[in-house]
Amino acid sequence: MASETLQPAGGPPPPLPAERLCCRCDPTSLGFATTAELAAAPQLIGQQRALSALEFGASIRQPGFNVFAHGARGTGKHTAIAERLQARAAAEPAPLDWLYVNNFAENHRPRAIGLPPGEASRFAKAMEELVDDLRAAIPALFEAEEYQNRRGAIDEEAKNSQEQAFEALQERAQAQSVAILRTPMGFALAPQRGGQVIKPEVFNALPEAERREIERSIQELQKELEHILQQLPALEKTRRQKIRELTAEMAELAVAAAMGEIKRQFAGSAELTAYLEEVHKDLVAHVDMFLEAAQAEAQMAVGSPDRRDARLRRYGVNVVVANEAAGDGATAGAPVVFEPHPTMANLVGRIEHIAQMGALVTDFMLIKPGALHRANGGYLVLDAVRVLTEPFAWDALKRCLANGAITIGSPAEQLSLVSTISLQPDPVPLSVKVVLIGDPIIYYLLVNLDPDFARLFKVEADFDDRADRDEATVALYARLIAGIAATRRLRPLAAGAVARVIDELSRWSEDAEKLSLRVGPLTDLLCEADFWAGDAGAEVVAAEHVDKAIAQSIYRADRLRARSQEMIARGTVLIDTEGAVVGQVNGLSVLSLGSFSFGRPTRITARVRMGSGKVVDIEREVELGGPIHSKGVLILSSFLASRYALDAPISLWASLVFEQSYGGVDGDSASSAELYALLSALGEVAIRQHFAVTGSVNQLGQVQAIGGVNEKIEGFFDTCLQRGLTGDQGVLIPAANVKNLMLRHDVVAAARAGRFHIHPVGTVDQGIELLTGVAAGERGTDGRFAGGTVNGRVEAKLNAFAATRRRFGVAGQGEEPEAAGEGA
Amino acid sequence: MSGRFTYRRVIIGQGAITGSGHTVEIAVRLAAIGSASLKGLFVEEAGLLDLADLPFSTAIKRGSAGPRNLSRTELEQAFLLSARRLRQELAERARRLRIAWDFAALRGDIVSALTSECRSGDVVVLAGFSGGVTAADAVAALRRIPPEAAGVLIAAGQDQRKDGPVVVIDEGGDSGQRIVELGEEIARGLDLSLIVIAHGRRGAGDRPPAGQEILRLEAGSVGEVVRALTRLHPWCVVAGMAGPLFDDDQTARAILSASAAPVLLMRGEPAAPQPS
Repeated sequence: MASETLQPAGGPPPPLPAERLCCRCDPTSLGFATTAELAAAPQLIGQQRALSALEFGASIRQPGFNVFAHGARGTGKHTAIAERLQARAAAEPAPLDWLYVNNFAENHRPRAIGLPPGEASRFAKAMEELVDDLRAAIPALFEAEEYQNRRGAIDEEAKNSQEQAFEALQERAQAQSVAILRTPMGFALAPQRGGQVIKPEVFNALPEAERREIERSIQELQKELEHILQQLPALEKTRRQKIRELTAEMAELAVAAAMGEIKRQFAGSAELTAYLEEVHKDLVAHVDMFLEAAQAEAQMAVGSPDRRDARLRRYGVNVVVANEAAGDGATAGAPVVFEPHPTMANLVGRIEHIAQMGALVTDFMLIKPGALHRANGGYLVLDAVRVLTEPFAWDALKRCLANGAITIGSPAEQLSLVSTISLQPDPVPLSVKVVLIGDPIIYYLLVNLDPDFARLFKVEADFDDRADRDEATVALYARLIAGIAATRRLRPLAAGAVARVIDELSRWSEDAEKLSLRVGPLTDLLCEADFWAGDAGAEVVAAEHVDKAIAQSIYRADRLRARSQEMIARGTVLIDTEGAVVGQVNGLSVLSLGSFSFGRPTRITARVRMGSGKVVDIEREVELGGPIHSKGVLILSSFLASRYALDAPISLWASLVFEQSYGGVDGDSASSAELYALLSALGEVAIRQHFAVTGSVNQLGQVQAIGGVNEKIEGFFDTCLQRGLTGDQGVLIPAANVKNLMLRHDVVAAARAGRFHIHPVGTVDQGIELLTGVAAGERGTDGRFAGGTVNGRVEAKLNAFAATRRRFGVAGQGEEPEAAGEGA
Repeated sequence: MSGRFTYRRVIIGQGAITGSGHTVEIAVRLAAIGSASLKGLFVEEAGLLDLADLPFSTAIKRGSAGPRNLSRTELEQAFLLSARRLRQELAERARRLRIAWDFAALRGDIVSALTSECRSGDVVVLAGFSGGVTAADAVAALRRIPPEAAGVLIAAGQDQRKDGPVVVIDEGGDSGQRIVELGEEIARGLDLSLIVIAHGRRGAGDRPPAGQEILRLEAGSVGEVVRALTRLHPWCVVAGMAGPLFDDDQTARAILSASAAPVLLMRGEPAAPQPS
């Protein structure tokens, strides 16, 4: 059996020598006095995998190969991505300029036109000049004598036509003594005598024949009058049509003369040529607008910021993307855009509105570009969490990438929250490489939960958070530190300070054989050390300044740690560091508060009696234990059953509890401690309280590595230190965690002085021997553990429980004797 | 200075079909400039009422499908509304410029009413005449105004440009000079530009430019005067009634037709110069 190979050989392991407790960098091995002697290294070390992925993602031109860069915070993702992309982009051609112009056929659908770099601004300026020219030229043309004469002739002709018709009628009417009168109801014909309308009584006194004659004359004249009046609108229409034709003819002259140059300048673009033809037609058709605008502008206050009439905006050019033109064969480069606030509007652009007469209105000049417009043809870098947390931004980004076009829309429109005049601008073709930056958890969540994600972000750039600690890497780090010091204008660091920083980087990585790659916190540490060096009036940052920076950083954050230790010291939290107790052991836990973590001891107790093989995890029962903790308890239950109850049902009821723990407990790092407490309770062997224990356990009785080993050891050390180190105290850690040890100086010093001990433990048997001072015991040839050993005692107790349970069954005392006890 | 034209009262007569806001405005302004009082007359045209009482009376509008019966009741209602509107306009504008005013409504014909109301030193406003047939009526009415009237303002029926120039027709001599001075006074009072059309060969073109004057046109013939008026879109035209242009009916009709703006014609010799 595998378990047989795990039996201790030669008793419990000795404590680790002090030099195994922390890997110290020797300043003399660095080969320099201060970092001023070093050439700066690039800010990215040990990220070959991520950089290779980034390079691949940026190079491949197929759709969907966008990049998601993930890694721990502070690993230099932003800097690395910015440097790499900017270097690539500088060698790439500048992309097209984009502008929006009016769509004369469908005003609500502004037209997007792409132009070679630098051309959009040039075109906008040319159009502005064209409109300015026409603002002067058109009114002048229509005030000129030629136009006035021709228009006067048309008016005169129309007037004459009307007058002639009226005069002829009036002459005939006068010949028949009939007057044409204007009344509020229109024209009327009246019989006259002596220039006056005949009065009714006079008319009625006339002979009937004369009355009928007058009526007949009037009826005839009225028919003529009717005919003339019915002709008037047609005459007026003809007059207006002639004026329109004259106006168009004159406008054509002005517009053709003004537009010749701009048409020649931009003849190379088919889209612009077509647009300019539309402008030409529209200008001729709307020449009146220039005349009205001239009047309106004249009435505006002199000195008002923009005296240009709003009606002329229809000929405006809204340049949404203007790239620099390459000059003399040099390339201006592709854009690299970082959008720190990726709202939907900031990504895809927006359509602004202005209030006019109480209503919100807009036009194509109010289209504002988004980051996708600016990055089109280049690279767009976004923070994944920010994109995901901005309403509609993620969907909008995916839609644009999937469609290969930027479509401007607003959340309000999508939700039908506003009802106002809006636009549907032409989509702009999109060719962009998007780089999302985020935590690994975000990446894995997106892969699992968003089916579009894998299709659109096919390249994963995984930034590591640690590198191997070897001579070459340490040298590279020294140069990195020199580079940061130079960039941030810090004092040079002495070799001792660099060595201290290197040690701290190992501690951050929780591994004596690794170095943290988190450049952000490293920079913060260097800045703080520089501050303390300045505070001390030093020219060079020394090791003591780094130590002070670390200590001050901890001091600022460790109020709760101090409070926790104080509660132990005052006996509020019960922790024994002396003596021996059955079923009680000091476990260790880690509390993380923001960026600061610290360890503290926790009393774990176990109680046992006869039962049906159930180990009750009280933390789980009250829902304070997490699933991993529960898993650890179940594993140790399985270990008990498989080791001691080989030929009988395990007849045990046991309870485990974290004493004075009122918050949640999770993780399995206390499972070995729980097992020790259980074995102590079953074997009735006391556990020495000057030890604390950490480590998880598997079903085979092996003690496995855990996290936060340094903080846990230091937590128990602080408790013991407060009470006075006795020389017996120490911590049992998994042997696999020895490589993770990067303990504080004072802990290492105490260990070196033999006043505190770190014991690496590989198996439960090793641990229980250390904790109890009693041999764990091995199975003899009879298949039994030797009596007097811990294992022998445990087995005997379990056999006794099993026998008692059998007796209960025979006596018919009930099948579940523990039920009454459990319910009590 | 050879003395200025003065007038004591401006009388405006309007009927239901001859009124316009612009005419009222110009009458009020004229009264303000001349420190004169204002008299408004609304005339219910008796001829129209007689016509409405005839058995076959009908009226037809421009562009309408056919004639409709002319009812006396409807006509009287239209008179009432127009009278009320004229009174209100006069009151508001006169009050704004602090001008003494009064108003009366009567029945008859406008020209007769104005003729009988006219006193020495009045400027009579004949409203609602513009173009074609009605220009002839305007000239006929002009000839009926009593000689003691200081002047006649023949107003167009339609509203004109509010910012057009004051155009003066200078027919030379002292009378022409005084016409120019009156035009300048009107232009200054209204903050408008002044354009002088110098007609004939009597030295009008040699005068020094008047204040407010921005342009002087030489018009050798009636046709040139007519063309100039057609193109200038004036706010109002000021001329002498006794000159050759308005002495002749045909010429007067042509000029009234050409000017879409009110024409102020001042009669005879001015009053003696004021001591101040």
